[in-house]
Amino acid sequence: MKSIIIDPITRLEGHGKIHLFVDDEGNLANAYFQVPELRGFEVFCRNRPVEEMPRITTRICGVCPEAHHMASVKAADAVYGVTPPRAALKLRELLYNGFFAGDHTTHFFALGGPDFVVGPEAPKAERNILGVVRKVGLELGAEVIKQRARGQRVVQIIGGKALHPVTALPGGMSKRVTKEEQQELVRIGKEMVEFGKLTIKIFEDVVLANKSYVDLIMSDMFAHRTYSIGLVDPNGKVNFYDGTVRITAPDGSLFAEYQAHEYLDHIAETVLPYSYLKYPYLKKVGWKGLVDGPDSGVYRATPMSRLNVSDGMATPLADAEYRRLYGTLTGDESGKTPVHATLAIHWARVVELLFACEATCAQAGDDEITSDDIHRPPEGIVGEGVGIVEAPRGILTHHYKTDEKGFIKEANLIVGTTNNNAAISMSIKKAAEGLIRKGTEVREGTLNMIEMAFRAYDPCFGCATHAALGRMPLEVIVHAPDGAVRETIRRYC
Amino acid sequence: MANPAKALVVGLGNDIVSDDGFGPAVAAACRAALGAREDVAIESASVAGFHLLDLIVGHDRVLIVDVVRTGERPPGTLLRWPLTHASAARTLGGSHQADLQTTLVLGRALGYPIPDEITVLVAEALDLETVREEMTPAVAAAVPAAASLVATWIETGELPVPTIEG
Repeated sequence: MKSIIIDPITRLEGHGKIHLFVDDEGNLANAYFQVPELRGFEVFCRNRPVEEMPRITTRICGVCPEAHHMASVKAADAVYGVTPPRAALKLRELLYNGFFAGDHTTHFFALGGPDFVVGPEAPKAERNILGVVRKVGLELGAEVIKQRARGQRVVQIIGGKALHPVTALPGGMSKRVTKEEQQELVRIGKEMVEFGKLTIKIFEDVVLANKSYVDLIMSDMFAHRTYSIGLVDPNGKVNFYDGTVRITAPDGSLFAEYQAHEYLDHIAETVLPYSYLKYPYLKKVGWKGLVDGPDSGVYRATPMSRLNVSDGMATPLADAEYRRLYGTLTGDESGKTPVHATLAIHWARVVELLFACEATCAQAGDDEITSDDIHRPPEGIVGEGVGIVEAPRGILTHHYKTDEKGFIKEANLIVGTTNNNAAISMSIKKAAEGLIRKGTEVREGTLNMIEMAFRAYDPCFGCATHAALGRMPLEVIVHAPDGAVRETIRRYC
Repeated sequence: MANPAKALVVGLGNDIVSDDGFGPAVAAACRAALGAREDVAIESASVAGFHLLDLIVGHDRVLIVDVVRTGERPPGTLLRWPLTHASAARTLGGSHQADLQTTLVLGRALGYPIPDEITVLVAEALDLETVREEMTPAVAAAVPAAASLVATWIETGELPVPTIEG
């Protein structure tokens, strides 16, 4: 196949492209997606003090700066070989759970909502956040906005700023939390739990009560038997801020566990033609292409993956929902049988949302968060460190190497969406192959199914904020076996 | 929001992603030129979608300064972006892709005090991928002219540049 280059100057840029390759028979042979990626990050970081990284990396991505702030400061802790005081770790984790509680809310109502709350069969004009608000009512719509504001307020109280936190630094935190602030955090936490319960109720009434939605979630069209990856706490429960990275095989058995500094023993990356994206895979299984199964190193890092690797949730209400999810989808409440249905990611996100709310509430009530002992100054330097957290879209790894004074020499990031590049391509292919056949024309319906497949992953295209104006179209390019462009369909998503 | 300034200027963009730093650079230039004024707020923001809602609610009129890349005009070209070009109801590819128009419609539906007048000034960009603090020369050169346009808008409400055709 010859390479097709789309001239970036002659058309609107900054958009997602999906390349579909058809074979001689006219059937789908392969699918790749491509999104604009930032470049030059390593060069930008080089020779900057490592303690600046938690603030620089929040500016890379306007979508989940909190995740970068935390992964970065954990890597910086490791570079200096310093363990922050317990109160500082608690503050970081509380900030992070508050962030997740707000972030998952937006994702569920803006992404899951169009497919489930409004319904996959609803007219296209209704399948959006405005349609969700119309369906569930303005009151709940306002609650969604309030919940987002609660998450931001938690980040602001602990992180100093609502959108781009600044207070985590190597060895701990720079800002203590007052008793009055703690009282506000407790109040917010309680409100969050109520909202989390409300979200579960909506999911129950609108999605679970509708057999066609449950069938859609379990549909084989959107299933891949891949490995799962996620962080677990010492009890094997889901944790967003810290823990052991656990990988389970497609049959649910434990495949590997590793600590942050060992990630290169487990994760490798490859690049495929036509896509320009990096495709991470499990090193010990190997890259076998865009295929699933136990012999393929493709893994997924999503809310569903986190539940798959864990033994449950660390809070009572979320744990009950965890068991209900597995009981419904696999018949085994223990969660030992993994769920591979891609659209179940939306359900897992709701379970995680409730967990984040409960965790925020519980941790806000811990008086130790008002301690003055929140920073331990680094005394030496190791010169290399890896920090790992769970970002909403999947596991996030920051790896820095510095000179003996702590100036960055090398920086490597594996971000949430990147983990899922292979799986997203596979889901697109699976959704498209049922629709692209010899003699058929690619139609609008193809785009809807493809969108549904990749929306479940909440892929992050948010590397530049000019997307605020909405100029982030999706383009589907159908290639003949010789690489020639056969058809192009474009529309704004 | 307690007594927000009547007029708000938002320089939108990421100042470490080359030409995406145009909005924040214009905001900085305006701040330097205008000094502190109670009737005008000038903000820089690297946010999108729903986050924008928090910034703009409560103001009477808002001017957003941003970049677009159409590839159809020389970099640095200044234009008014008509908000009506964005569809008010479209499926999102990601939650962070809630475009400005959708955000505004949602905000109004929820009863937020969304300003009646929202104007968008954009510069044609060249590089929106490279992580660096410098803009490309033509885009950087457009900052003073954009700042001057912002000053005109603050005083008169007019934005004397062509509207982008779409």
